[in-house]
Amino acid sequence: MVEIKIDGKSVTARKNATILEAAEEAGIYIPTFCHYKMLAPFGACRACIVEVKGSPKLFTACTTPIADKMEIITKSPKLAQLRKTLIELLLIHHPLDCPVCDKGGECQLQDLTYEFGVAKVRFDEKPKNTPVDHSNPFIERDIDRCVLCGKCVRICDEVVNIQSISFIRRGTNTYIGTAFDQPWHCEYCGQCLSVCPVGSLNNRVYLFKNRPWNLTSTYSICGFCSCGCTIRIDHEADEVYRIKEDVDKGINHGFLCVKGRFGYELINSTERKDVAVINEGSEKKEVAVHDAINLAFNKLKDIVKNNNSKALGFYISPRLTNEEAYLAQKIAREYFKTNNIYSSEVAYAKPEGTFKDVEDSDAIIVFNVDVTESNPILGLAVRRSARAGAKLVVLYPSFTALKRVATEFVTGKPSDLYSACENLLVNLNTKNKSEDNLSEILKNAQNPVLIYNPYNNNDLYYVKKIKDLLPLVKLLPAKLKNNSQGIADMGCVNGYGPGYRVVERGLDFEKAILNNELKYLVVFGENLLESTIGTEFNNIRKKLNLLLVIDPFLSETAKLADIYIPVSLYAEKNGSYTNMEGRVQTIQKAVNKSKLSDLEVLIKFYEMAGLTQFKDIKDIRIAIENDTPLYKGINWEGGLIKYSEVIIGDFTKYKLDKDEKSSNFILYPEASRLHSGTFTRWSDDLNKVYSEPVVNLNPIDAKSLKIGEGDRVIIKCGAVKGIFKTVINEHLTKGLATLPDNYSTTIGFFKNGPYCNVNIIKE
Amino acid sequence: MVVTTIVLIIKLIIILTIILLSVAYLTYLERKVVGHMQVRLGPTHVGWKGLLQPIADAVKLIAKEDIVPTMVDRSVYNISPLVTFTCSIAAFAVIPVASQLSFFGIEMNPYIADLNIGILYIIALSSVGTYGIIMAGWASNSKYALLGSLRSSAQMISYETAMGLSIAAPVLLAGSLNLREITMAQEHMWFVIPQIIPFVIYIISALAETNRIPFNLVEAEQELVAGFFVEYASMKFALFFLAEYANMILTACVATVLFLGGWNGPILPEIVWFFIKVLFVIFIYLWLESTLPRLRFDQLMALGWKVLIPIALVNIVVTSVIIYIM
Amino acid sequence: MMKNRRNFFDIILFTEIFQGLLITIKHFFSKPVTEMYPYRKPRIYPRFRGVHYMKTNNKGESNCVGCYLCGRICPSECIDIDTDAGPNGERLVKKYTIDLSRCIYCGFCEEACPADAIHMGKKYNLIANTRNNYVVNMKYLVENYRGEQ
Repeated sequence: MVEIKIDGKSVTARKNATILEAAEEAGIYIPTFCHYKMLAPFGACRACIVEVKGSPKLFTACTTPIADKMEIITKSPKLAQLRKTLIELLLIHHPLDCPVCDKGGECQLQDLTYEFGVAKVRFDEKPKNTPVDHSNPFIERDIDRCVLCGKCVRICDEVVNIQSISFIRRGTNTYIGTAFDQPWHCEYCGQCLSVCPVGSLNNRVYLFKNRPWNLTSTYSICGFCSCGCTIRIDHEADEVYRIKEDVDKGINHGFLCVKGRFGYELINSTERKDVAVINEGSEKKEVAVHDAINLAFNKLKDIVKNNNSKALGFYISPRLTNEEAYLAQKIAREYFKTNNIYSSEVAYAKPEGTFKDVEDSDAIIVFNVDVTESNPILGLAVRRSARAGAKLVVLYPSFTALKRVATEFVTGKPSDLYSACENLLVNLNTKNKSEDNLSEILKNAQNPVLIYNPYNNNDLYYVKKIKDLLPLVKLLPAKLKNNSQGIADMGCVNGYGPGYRVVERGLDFEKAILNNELKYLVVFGENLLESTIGTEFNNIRKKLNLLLVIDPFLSETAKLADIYIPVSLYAEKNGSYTNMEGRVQTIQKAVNKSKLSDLEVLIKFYEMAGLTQFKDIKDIRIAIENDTPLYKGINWEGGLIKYSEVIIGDFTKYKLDKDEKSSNFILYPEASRLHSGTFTRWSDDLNKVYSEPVVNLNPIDAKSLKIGEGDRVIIKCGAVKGIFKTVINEHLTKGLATLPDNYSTTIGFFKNGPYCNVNIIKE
Repeated sequence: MVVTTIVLIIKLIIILTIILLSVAYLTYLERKVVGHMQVRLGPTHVGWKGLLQPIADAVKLIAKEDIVPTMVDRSVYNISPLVTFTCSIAAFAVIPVASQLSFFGIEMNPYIADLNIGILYIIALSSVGTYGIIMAGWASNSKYALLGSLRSSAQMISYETAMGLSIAAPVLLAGSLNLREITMAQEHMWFVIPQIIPFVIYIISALAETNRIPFNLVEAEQELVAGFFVEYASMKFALFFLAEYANMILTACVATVLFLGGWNGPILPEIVWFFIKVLFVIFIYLWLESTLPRLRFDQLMALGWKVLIPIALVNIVVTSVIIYIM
Repeated sequence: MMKNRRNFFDIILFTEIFQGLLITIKHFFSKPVTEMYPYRKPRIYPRFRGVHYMKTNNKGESNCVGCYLCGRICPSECIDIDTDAGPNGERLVKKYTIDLSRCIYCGFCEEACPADAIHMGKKYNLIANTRNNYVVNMKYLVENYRGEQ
């Protein structure tokens, strides 16, 4: 600890801290401009200059480390004059179009101008009038407003590691731009616009829609992927205007991905229904939600009365909150007397490591999952950790964005990957030092973390083996949806009750629904056409006696429903999500679109059933805590759940289809950072960039097939066939092709496993 | 006999019409004068310079629905405006507007009755008029009306004493209660000159008697809505209204006769002099009205009993002694 | 204790009352200030603040840039603005309404306007038959500008 004096106040601060950090801890304000908490010190703007007694030189507080007995002055006439001049110099080129600038009202330059009392600029202004760049679908770039603080450049490099933008030219000609003024090579994460202190980089989804002073902020948890990022929902008059980040809150350190930051417009979607839809044979009728709930409940009650409970199934989506999922399985088990509770989630893979573990780890294995796409914020954590010195091992069929930071990157056909795994297992087993780099990295690691895909049984076999050999390794399954972990904890997996209590197993979903053993189906938020069964559900649906769909959107499944009840989305309800690391976080209601939440529908069911009344979230949480030892005494605002058996069950190796003669490509599912599941497809803004499933091909393969970028190709695998647009991707391994697996047109390829031998020809 | 009766009736009709018209136009005058004193215009709308405004008001009042509240004492309620109105109009019978009046060659008396106790008659009638107010307040069965009438009676009793005492001074000087003789006694000198103090006391008391500002506690709008006639509507209300303004003119006439030398004056005809003087007194009333704020009730009583009555008494004693010596 | 003693002569000679009477009689002879409103239009002074108008450019397009500052400063919150990004990424004013029945005609909006758009006009005579008709839109304000010129 070092003793220093700031403005005459004695401050003790940790060694190597900068003056700014010491002052912040002591509660002394130093104006900053280019400083950002999550970035390395830069010292570009000189707004934080301070005087140090005994030195004629001025120091930038953000870059200067403190020394013992240092006496620092943060406020003096000299500093005030310098800071004022600094702003005046910036304002030579900065256009004074604050009224039309989206940043107006929350602009750091505005604030500092006001704070330093700059009423008049002594220099002649020289506006540049460069046209505004709209080439990026999410980010507006007005380089005239730029003050060259470099935050965007630094965050794109240090955090995102994409280096999409940089300083171009030198001196007064400097501007922020892409290399050779090419189109943005961008992940659309919007990290750059979140740190921009002025209106140079703007959110195009929010562009000109409102002004910051009109907006009310509500902190909540993002409802898309399983990372569980803390978001700030800015809303006015029950309309969500934008999603902002908060650097001080949550596990995401103020980073968001393209879905979380730009995908929110689906909340305001006009395609959402206000009334329930009842399918009466030939015609569809719109009725009040309340009537639909009554009708639905009476139909379900009749099933129980007629002892048909065995044919009744509940399909629960991981979009539901913990409270909703708990209540849904509870009423299904206790009142509707059925064990047929299904979800797309798995009960055998539970998290052990956390984001913090990833950040502090010295060896990370990313096993056959593209975290930068499926869980972008985890991807950022991996990249930051790797940049900070951690060894990163990635096994994936093709190169991903992690290639730049990976120590070892194993690519190849699935069979090659798994043979590398076998090799790894063998080397891990031997005590001797081996030639294999992979196993050496793992063996020497103090805090290894393994990130894997919990939905791939073949991977799980290897993960379990690695965990058995290396008990030190912390497992982190890269789950997909916002509450994937939570609904499994709440007992929404077939055969498991709340807290993984083993209960009587219900019918196997796919078998039962194909054999027409399930005649009545209640679906909470899941789009069955685009997940497990695919287009076959169209035929199955005709055999079902009742299909009740409770979904925020009139999805493809909901269109087939006998009764469809619209419900609210994540920004419109209270509750909690458990993220992929087992962290329970509370979501807050921000807007009221006058729709019932799933919870309110379930509470109505409870009322009509005459069961114990749950009045609010608190009652349900007490019930959850009593029912599941895992959640006993948990802090619902960010408490971490400790799972005992993180990976259980016997996994068998998946038989890779060796029949490669009739096919020329191996197709594997890719995750997309623009879409998580089927949900985000209701966002027009995300659809602008990714509207239909595309097939990725290696340029060499494409050339041999005479396929160009954007051409349509026919993919064929047995009876399954589809026509898709092509994207040429140089990172893809030769002989492989990718397709997203969450479209009704593509799910057929992945029915028998994650790899499919296909024939691709030009249309 | 018949001729004198007809003449009397014609004279009555003429005088009554003149009184009623002047009462009506007094409202116009008031609104104009007070308006201009408040830098406004007053009525301008009906007729030239708003001259038909009083007629419009009268028509409106007559055309209004006559509302009788359910809880009132009907007979008393109906009689009281008549009592008030009759008393104030009847008092005009003894006012001499000129020494002689010739009308198309016919000589006639410029008054209806030449009572030798004319001044006493006026005081008596104005006291009886108070009954109308008290009856109205009581019969209305309303707290505002009752409070208004109680204030009214208290005020009238207090100030009638001061008024009577101030009237006594010119009576002593003239040596008569007959108004004609009092007027004629002022041929050389108006009584206002030796008797300025009783004149001031008389003006103050007259304001109080007629419930004018600053003594309009009876109908203080802010406290009592409209005082004793708050429950009255239409023509009954109009009668109270007329009586009030008739009283104003009457007190102005009495002031003219007792202090300002009545019809006496050079050059102009006597009747013109009389009207000029009455108008002057009325103007003083209106002038005071637009100048002074309303008194508090205790101030009103204190002024009456502690100031005006002692001064008036002293004045009578002094006057009597002087007359006795001379 | 100082008692507010008045001069004895002031009391008996009614000095103060005469002072009051002097004031009223002075007013009696001064020119009345009454406006004969419907018959004679009152004089409009240069800084009069009447119904707003919206300045336009030469093409007749409103100068408004949709910055929300007038709505922000408005003490009676009668200005309602809605903006969006236009097809070429420019700022587009989708909706601009003023509730004239709620407006207190303070002129703050004119002061706040950075774009020389909203101004207080000379028009004061506004009568509508429903409350909704007092809510005026951009078209009305632009037409008002033509009336003001």
